[in-house]
Amino acid sequence: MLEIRNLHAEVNGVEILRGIDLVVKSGEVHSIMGPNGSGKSTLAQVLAGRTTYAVTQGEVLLDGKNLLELEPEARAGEGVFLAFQYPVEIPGVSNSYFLRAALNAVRRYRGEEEVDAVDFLALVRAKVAALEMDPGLLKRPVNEGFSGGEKKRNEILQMVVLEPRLAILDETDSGLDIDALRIVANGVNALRDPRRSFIVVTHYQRLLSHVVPDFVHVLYAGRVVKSGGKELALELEEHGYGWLDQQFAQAARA
Amino acid sequence: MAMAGSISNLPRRREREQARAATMSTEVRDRYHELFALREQGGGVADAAWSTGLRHRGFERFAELGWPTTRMEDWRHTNPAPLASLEVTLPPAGRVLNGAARRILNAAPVLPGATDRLVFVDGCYAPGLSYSSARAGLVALPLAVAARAQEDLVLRHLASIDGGESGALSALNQAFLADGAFVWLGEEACLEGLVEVIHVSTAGDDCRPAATFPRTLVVAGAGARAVLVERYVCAGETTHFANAVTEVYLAPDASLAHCRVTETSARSYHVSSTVVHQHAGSVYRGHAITVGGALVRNDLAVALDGVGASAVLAGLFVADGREHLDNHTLIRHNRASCTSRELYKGILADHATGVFRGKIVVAPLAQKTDSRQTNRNLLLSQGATIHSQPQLEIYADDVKCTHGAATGRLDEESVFYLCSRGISLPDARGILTGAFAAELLDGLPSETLGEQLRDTLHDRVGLVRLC
Ligand SMILES: Nc1ncnc2c1ncn2[C@@H]1O[C@H](COP(=O)(O)OP(=O)(O)OP(=O)(O)O)[C@@H](O)[C@H]1O
Ligand SMILES: [Mg+2]
Repeated sequence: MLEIRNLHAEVNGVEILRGIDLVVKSGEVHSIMGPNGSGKSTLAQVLAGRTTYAVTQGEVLLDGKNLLELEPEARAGEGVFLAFQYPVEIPGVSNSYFLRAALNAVRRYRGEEEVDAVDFLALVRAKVAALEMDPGLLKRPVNEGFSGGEKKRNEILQMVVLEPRLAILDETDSGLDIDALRIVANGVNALRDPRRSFIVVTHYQRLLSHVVPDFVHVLYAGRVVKSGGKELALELEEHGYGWLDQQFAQAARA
Repeated sequence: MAMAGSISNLPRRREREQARAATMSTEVRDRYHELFALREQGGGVADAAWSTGLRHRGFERFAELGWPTTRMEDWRHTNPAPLASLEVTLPPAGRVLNGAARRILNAAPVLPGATDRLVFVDGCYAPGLSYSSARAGLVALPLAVAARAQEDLVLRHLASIDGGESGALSALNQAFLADGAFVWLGEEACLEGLVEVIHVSTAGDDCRPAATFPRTLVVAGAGARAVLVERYVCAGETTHFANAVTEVYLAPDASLAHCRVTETSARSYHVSSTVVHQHAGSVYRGHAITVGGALVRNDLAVALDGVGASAVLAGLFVADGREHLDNHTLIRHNRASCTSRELYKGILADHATGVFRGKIVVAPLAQKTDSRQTNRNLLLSQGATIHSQPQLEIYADDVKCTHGAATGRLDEESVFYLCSRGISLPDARGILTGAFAAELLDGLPSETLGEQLRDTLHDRVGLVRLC
């Protein structure tokens, strides 16, 4: 479903992604781990269409379609969803307005009928309840003054409302308390479906014991340097990333 | 060598410029003098004997002051020359094109709760488009009618409260005084609903733009409360020049919410002066909404002349194309314990230019003044420009005064966030623009007016309504 081949991206002339290859099939959950600054968020943002990063080489196909040619809004229409590591605060725009505008925009893109205010309210109320969110957050401006955990839960709310084909969660677990982590994981698991895939960026095993990945990849200095099954995450948790530096130091000496 | 040449040329160039300005000034004065004489002798003012003195004094003052130039501090960022070069004509008196006016009025449909509506077409009162509730405690009449019935009352206030600070353009308005709105509120009159005063411009063509000189006088008795919506709309196809003056007089504890909305086409010109005089304990809430115009200059001067008076000034100005909008506000804290709050926001697209100059003067008597001023501007394009100039003059020592100004562009990260959820780029920008303007549109005393303006601003700068 998603194929990333030899993807290179740079910002201000500095290369951050240096040849990424990754194939995610329908229904799979892939986890991406790696040290701070290795390029995980950059990869996530490039997939969502952030133009701050210039793609210099490679291709990204979603169901055979060249994603890199599409504007961010068209990618969302095609089913790409990114839960941001740092969700943006948008003063003056209510959360429920934003959610409905987003839902109707992707529905229009997919040739589906728009949802009216009444139906939308019913729909979103149910999802808010399932995520055990404070319904008051719907009336407030998008993410403004939300606590760290509330922001992350709000990203998941958007995900369950938009029902993407490919959901990319960028450190959605950081900032969540133990109960919230379980609730968010349940939200993700409820969406697991043979036609839907997930890329879960995380630093910790915690989330992965709830949302069990099919594959785990280690990103280091803009490349996938190791891939494995879910046990790789446990290994990393135990040993950290020091071995990577040693390996690369050796490679550099050789 | 070239350097030396240009330096030695400088004084001569300045001389030339000054000579040109002087010639221009004489030309404009002559042009307006001709119009003035024609009107005074041609019977255009036959039934306006009540204002003869005012008109002549107005013209004298205009002739004395001369047309403003960019050398004046007040006109540094707005070149008044394009106004001077308009070869204006006066629309024929008594000609009211109801059909044409009705079409334009569709853009300003009656607001719910409007109990009284005074409509003027090209400066002339249009009784067929107006109506009145005839309520106790309220007089809402054309100025000319009111002056005939209550000459004393009208003359006592008209042109009495600008304290000699008025410029040449408001003197010109006085010189061509014809008609306008007179709104009087009796003591303790507490009016439900709102009073609308609407000026529609229809006449004029490219060679001879029509000039109108609307005048509004509001007198609120002690403890009276009301909402006034003053609105200027114009036909898009032709060029007009409107030069408006509004005077507001608030007796002790009176309270007025005053929306002043100008929607001017990209080919038309609008200058205005609003002066507000406040007695003790009175409250003035000004909502100044300015949309478009080839050149618009709005002056608003508020004098807090009684202990404990308060003024809240909210302004939104929006321009695109090559439009130029200039807002000058002046708040005089003349007595103790007065409060002023001012928030002006500008939204500028394309190659539009905005000017905000907000001056606050705290007199020695005005201890315990509490004043806050903010100007924020949103530039929607690289080519848009803003000149923002807050100015505080404080002559008292026990005061709380703050001011701040900030100008920015749409936040790219926010735009991306919205787009990543499927929202199109124009909509994402429009939503953020709507959010920027929201507090000013939501704060209007008429929700419907806010909605009408959102539609206008959608067409103008893509603003998306957020409900
Ligand atoms: N706009 C930018 N300008 C300059 N450098 C940038 C920019 N964006 C990212 N980088 C750099 O690219 C590198 C990768 O950043 P990225 O955010 O992708 O890391 P990450 O793997 O998500 O790290 P973390 O685990 O801390 O979230 C970092 O060194 C970062 O400083
Ligand atoms: Mg990151």
